Amino acid sequence: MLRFYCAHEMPFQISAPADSLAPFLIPNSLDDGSGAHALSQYLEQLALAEAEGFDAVYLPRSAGGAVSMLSDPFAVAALAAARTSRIGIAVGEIALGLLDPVDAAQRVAMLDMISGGRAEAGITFGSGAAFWAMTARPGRARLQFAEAAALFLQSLREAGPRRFEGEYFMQRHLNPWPKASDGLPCFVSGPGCPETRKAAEMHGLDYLPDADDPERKGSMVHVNVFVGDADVLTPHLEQARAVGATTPNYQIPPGYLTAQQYRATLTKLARDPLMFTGNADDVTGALRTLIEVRRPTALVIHPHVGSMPHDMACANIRAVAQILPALKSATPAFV
Amino acid sequence: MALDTPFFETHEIEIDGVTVQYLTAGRGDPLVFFHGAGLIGGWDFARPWPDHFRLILPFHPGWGGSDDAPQFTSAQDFVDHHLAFVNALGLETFNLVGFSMGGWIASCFAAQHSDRIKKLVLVAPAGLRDEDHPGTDLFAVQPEDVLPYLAHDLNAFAPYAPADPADPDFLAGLYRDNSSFAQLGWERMWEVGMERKLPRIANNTLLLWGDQDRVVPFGQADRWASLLPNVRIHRLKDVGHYPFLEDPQAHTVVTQFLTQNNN
Repeated sequence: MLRFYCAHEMPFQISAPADSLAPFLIPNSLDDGSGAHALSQYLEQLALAEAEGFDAVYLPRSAGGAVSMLSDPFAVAALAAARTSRIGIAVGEIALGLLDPVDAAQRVAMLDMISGGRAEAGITFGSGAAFWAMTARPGRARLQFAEAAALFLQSLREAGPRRFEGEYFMQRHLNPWPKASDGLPCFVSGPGCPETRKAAEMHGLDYLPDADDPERKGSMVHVNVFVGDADVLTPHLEQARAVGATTPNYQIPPGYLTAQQYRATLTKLARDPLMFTGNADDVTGALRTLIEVRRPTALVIHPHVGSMPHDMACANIRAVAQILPALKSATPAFV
Repeated sequence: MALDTPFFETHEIEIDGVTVQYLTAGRGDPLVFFHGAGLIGGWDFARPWPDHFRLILPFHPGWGGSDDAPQFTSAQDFVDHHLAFVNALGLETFNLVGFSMGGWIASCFAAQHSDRIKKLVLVAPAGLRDEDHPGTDLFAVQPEDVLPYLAHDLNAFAPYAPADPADPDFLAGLYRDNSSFAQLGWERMWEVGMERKLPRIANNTLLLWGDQDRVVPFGQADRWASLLPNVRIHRLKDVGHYPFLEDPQAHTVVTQFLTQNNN
């Protein structure tokens, strides 16, 4: 069954300067208490997503960028759990190779317990921003992330005590508490690298669909969706352009891809922004086509990016929610 | 980054499972040159040396026509590789010139295999931590902004710069060079313990440095000189990080140093 996520990156309430490095170079200060005020509004937006019929909220972990305040997404997720009762709460883009995978698993399990079994976990097998924020060597990171994923999933799913011995992680007494509920949804976040796809399949985790293989099922698609007339869309698009201006140099640190893959990615980034804008009918039609062609099991909708005012963010969450029934009713049987 | 090298003979050799390319020209005393992290600028600067030396220009694994070696994670991997390389070529002793990152590797090589080296030239070498004169982290510089860091006189790069700085092939070539350098320098742009290695280099050593270097500042030269037992500094006035491109006298200084009978 296709599930609809409402993503929230919780950006700082500032305008990004017109600089290609902006998300990484904006000063990391909120000197007027506006952070607390913004967070309060963001939690209202998450509660609104539940009230308007989304299946889950998606909270991606940040790594030193101003586009997201989710440096500690588990704290925000716990607050979201207290403000909601039905909706799934997914913490995404957990850069396991750069964290303590056992600690991450315990946090997911705690969130699962606090939320009454509504936690979901999205891990990465690499993250451009994370490599800049931390010192892992991109060229070696796949091995490190793959090992971290194995340790994370063992910690999440299997009973302890047990032993884990790897090249990067060593646990003589692996016995995390609490253990998450059986079947807690786990998936992989990322831009669609073939190597990550293999790793996700090896662990039985959902991943992005393969644009070159439309027969492949069982995956997530991230989309920006802005519904309305030109006056409504303009500020959303301006913010999307500012945040999207991050250059490939920062998204893809040296060594993470081969030179050939890097070249192909430059072309793909220019071609495939996955942004859906316009009136409700147009957006509905375009998203139905996307669903039919790419067959996702989860559509992660980003109804706002950058520093959108609270009322405008809420308005677009409601506008997107209005088209969810049409999308659900049109979901093909194969999804 | 692929290079057009018609002046040199091109060879390939397999070293420990890695096929590497190297260029040669000339006869005489061997001169082995370790290139830096970026290959922009090509090899034209080296054309005078074959009049005096048997010039050998190996591409490190991960650069030029050499295969990638993702298993390399340290300067020691490059040192071991190049020891096997010179052994394979039958070079008992040779002059060694290392530029920038190549100077980092050459320094580590000389610290362990001083007996294999006749004379050592370090050109704007990277690899030594100097908190008073920190180098530029080129990973943090956007590819299209790199050139002004490399040369004081940007005209030096004019023959080698692409017509379109956003050309995907050019950017992919830079990405490969950066990826290979990241295997050595992502976590830190210097060698742990270099200050303990340098005093082991007994060889007669020349430090050649442009005083307008924005990548590895000339201010580091004094620290290098304080650690190398047998060294002299040659300062190139109004020259940036690429002396061989910016100053036609740079290769002459190296030739004179290597051919002087002062061993």
